[in-house]
Amino acid sequence: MAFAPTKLKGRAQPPKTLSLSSMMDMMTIILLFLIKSYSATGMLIQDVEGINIPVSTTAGSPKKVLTLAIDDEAVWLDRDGQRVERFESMDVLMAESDDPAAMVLPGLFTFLENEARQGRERENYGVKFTGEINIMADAQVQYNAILKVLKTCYNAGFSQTDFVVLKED
Amino acid sequence: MAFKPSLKRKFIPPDEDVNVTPIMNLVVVLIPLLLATAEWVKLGLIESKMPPAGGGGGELTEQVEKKALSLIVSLEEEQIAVSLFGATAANPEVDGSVYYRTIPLLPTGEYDYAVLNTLLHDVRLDVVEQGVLAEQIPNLDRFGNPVYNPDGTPQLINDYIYSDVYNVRISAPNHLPFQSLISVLDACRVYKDEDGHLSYLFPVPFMGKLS
Repeated sequence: MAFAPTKLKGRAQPPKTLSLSSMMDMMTIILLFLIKSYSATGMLIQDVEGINIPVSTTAGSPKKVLTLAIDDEAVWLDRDGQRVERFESMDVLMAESDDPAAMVLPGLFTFLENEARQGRERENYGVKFTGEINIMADAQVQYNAILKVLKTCYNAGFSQTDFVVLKED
Repeated sequence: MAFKPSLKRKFIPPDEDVNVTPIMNLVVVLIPLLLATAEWVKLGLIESKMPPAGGGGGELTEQVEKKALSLIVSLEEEQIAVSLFGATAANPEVDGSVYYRTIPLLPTGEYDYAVLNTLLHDVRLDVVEQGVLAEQIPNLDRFGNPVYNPDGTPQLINDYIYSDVYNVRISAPNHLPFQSLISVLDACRVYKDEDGHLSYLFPVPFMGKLS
């Protein structure tokens, strides 16, 4: 007696496709989040590790210029979020004096004066020297230290000083 | 003779998924691109300046005949003092009006930035805006270059009888934390009304020492 033909074997199975719907949902959420944090200019300034940047309501946009970082130890030259050169320590920054000359930090002044001179020399090649400088200081750094750095920048030829702040949402 | 029922009516199309592979390809390309351009920490800048050598408000020679507003915000130990036209605690009146105000500390011992902001808004409206001259002048950026509207026309701003209508001089004690200074600069720079409209107050600060 012949067997009845099997109902499953030999019958063509429909091709199985991978369901991408859940992955699409996830990708859409990630895409929206990234679009929200999109910046046309990218990160022009990077925050320095260990510096608690003060919060502000400013709408001013960051600029990629020379940046000084002030933490609880010293004044540093900041390059792409890295402390690359140390200048005066916090002891010198916090020393109080009535002498106006004591407001200028000698190590920082020498460096900035050299940078300003090089900037002016580059004007011969069409690169305008604007005298802009960013100051990224910790929220707890005291006013006296800020004033000394400002005064030093001003005397060295960097008259356009800007404070780097964290924008409030 | 009855017609045979149409086969078309009974045909049920197979349940097919939308082909999302091209969209997936696009998304996979977009995500690394957006990751590279994302701004994780939103940093901004606040302008700051040192007082001009020799003091005084007016900076331009053609503005010599203008009056100096001389707005000073002094962050003192027990209060914030706001002074105009050189008024002091000892001589708060200038030309019969009081131009020296104080703002006491909050019960928490912090400066009252909200009241400072409101007071400076009042100064802007009641003093500065009352001194508008008839003609407008071209708006200049911080480097002295003219600012243009999107349509290419020069941006014009009000001219005032005062030479330093955007300046504020900040005096603070040596030990003031940087965050407090930034909060004062915020209070001096812009005023936000109940509808959320922003208006500039005194956006160019000059830093000085408390004498």
